[in-house]
Parts: sequence; C-alpha cells; structure tokens
Amino acid sequence: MQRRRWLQLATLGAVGALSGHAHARHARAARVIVIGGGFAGASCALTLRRLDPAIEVTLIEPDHEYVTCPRSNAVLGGLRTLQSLTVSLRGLDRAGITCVRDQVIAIDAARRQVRLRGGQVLRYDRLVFAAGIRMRWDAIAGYDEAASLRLPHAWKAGAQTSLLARQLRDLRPGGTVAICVPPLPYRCPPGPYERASLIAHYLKIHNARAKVLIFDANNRFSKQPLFVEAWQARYAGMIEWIPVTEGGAIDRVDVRTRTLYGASGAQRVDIANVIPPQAPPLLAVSAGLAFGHGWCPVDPRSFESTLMPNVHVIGDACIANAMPKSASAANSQAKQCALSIIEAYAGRAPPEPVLHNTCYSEIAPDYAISVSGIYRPLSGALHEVAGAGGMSPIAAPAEFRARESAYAEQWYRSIVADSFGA
Amino acid sequence: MLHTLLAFKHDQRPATIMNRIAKGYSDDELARIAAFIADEAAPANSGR
Repeated sequence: MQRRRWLQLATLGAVGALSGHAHARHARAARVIVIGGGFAGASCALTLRRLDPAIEVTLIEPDHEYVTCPRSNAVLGGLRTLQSLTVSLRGLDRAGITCVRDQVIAIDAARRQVRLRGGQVLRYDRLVFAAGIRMRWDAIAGYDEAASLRLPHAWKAGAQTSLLARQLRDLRPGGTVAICVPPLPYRCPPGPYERASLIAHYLKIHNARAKVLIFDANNRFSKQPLFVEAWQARYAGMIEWIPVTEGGAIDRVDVRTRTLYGASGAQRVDIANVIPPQAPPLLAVSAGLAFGHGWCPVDPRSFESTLMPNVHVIGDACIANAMPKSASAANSQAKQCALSIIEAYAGRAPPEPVLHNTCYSEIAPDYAISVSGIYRPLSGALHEVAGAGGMSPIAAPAEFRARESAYAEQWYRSIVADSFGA
Repeated sequence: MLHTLLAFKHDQRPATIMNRIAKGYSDDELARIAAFIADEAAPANSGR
C-alpha cells in the first residue's frame, strides 16, 4: 500500500525514504545501470534503491565527487568557494548503490551490455543514460579544448570555474569581461545572465570601472525583465547585452589576442568567457541515442529512448521539450524515470508524470529571482501547465528579493541532499 | 497541510514561489501531497 502511494506521489515531487520491498517475482535480480553521477544519474539511482532495494543498481562515474553547476557563479562573485559546492558521491555507496569509478566507452543494445574503459563488460536489463553534456569544440572557429585553458567556458563547474575566478581577480583596472552565450538549447538558460550579475557584483567592489559585455546568439533570454530591472537597480552602466540582432553571435575567436569576431566586427577583450554550443557526450552519438549529433529523443512518460529500447535518457542530454536543462528538471525527470522502470518490471505502464522545475538566479547576496514550471505530457511532448509557474514578480520590494535569496540557499541544500543522499 | 497548499494555490497566503507551484496541481494531487508529507512527518508511521 505504502509503496503504491509513493509511486503515485513521487511524480508530484514529494520525496521520502521507503521501507524495504522485496522483488520476489524475479528469479534473477533486476539489474539497472546508470551512466553519470550528476543530479540526474544520482537522483535516479537513489530513487530506484529507495523504492525497491531488490533492484541491483550500478552507477558508473569516473569521479569520486561532483562539483555542482548550481551556485558556481557565486564562486566568480567571490561569495562561495568551490569546496562548498563539492559533493561526495559516498552517499550513493551508503544507499547500497554499486559505484564503479570508470567510464562507459560503448553500449551494445542488442546484448544489453556496456563496455568500460577499464575493460569490464557489464550486463543490464535497463540502462539510464545521464551523462550530461559535452562542449562542441567544432562550433566556434578557433575555440577548442586547448583554447578553453585561456578563454574558459566555466560551464562545467571545477577547474574551469577556478580559472575564470582567477582571471577576474587579475583583471586590469577598468578592463572588459565578455560572456559569449550560445544559441538555445544549452545547459542552464538563465546561467549566463546570473553570471553577468555576480561578476558585476565582484567588479563593483574590486574594480568598479570594469565592464561586462554579453555577446548573445539569441535575441531574448530567461527572466529577461527581472534581470534588466536588477541590472538597472544594482549595476547601472556595468553590464551591456548585445543580442544576435545586433551582432551578438560570435563565430570565431583569436585566443592569443583575446579577440571575438561576429557579424558586427571584431572586439578585443581582457577576459573572454566563451560558452560554446553543447550536445550530449559522444557516447550518445556512437550508441545511436542522439538525433544526428544533437540531443536524445525520449518518451515523455518513461524517458525511454525513442531510438533504442530499454535505454532511458534523463537530464541535460534528453529532449524534454518545454523543460529547461537544469538540476531541478533533471531531479524531477530522474524520479519519473525510476518509477517507470519499477513499473516496467511489474509489467505496468509508466505512471502519469507531473514534472517540475525551479531555478533561482542570484543577483547579489541579498537579491535573488526565480522561475518555476509544472510540466505534463500532451500529444507526445512535455508542455508547461498554463496558469501555473512563471517568474518572480517585477518591481517587487527589496524584502521579497531578499527572501528569495534565502530560499535559493535552502533550495540548493535540499536539492543536493535529495539528489546525492549527502 | 492541505489547507496550506490550497491557500497557496488560491493566493490566500503570502508566498514567493509556492503560489506559482501550487497552481500547477489539481486539488486531488495537493491532497495526496499533503497526506504524504503528514505521513513522513509522523514518527509513529516510520518503518511501516
């Protein structure tokens, strides 16, 4: 009874531990392999273990810890350390998940096997691909992995974040910082604008004549009216946004001179934070999970690949229609995917999904804004529920922005605890 | 708990984000969420 109710509830975003439920009907243990130990993979593995400890869950991830992208812009703002964003994956071991520190190099869908770099071959009933994104080094002329050591993307938190933070610290007085935004869809749609805000926060204190230029391959952006309002209130004259219609799309960079080239000409800057276009890791392409070199199509109820049976794709790598590529969306998709897998073992259809996303963006230590959405499937795609969700109100009092700032911190703590068991 | 969630949904309780989120769920779904949270919070029900 309890399990059934959890199954009904978990899709609504409720979270909780569940007492043991034996998978007695299987002669052989059910075996699920999860690729990737980020928000999507960890949440899915934990949910499977919580709901049905009889399922053997193996999570394959080369790293022992995960540095969260959420809040990593605060490192650039001088408000957080990278250490405070580093999550140990030991909580997954403690939950009874078998964590293999390795990397999947091939998926054999016919044999239901994955091959690891270390040579091991593992069998699965169900595979969950939650490996996130890769940077597309072929998209901007002159911008490859070596270039990112001079012009950091900082779009995966870790060494790249530290590098950009160091460059900001060493910026000459009155220097120029450029943030290059790729065309949508990319990981964390409001991220570049939160980054501009928190860099401006840092510069306002340490380098007040410096400027932030946003070269954008899009002509509008997430939470735009709220960001514009906040920039006028807090960072007047410090942040300039150049949309695609005014030559904001950067198609070539010169690493040595830190020059950006677009339709409106060349711009030499002191710091170039180039966020390149993204795609799922190449494994998704070689395994046949991606449309061409793009993202991975899935069924909106089970998150099972529409190209490959018994393989599910969740998080940033999948095409989730109206849902953004965010930690919150990944966590919600992971739970729905886990429930669908459990139901599939029982010969039942996936439960009707009600997915959820919340994204906070920090403007300053006492100022945050949010967007949220509820998503349901309709005619094979996920749509946002009309009349629900949406942005923080415009022209809200300072006290409202401060409360959202406190809630942003609480949101961060709870999504990390929920996703990683940490 | 259900009373609180319904109050959020109908803007009868001050909120920053819960009012936006609660509007995405039916009253029946909010009732199930409320029952679940109450169940989780009650120590007597743990380990059942």
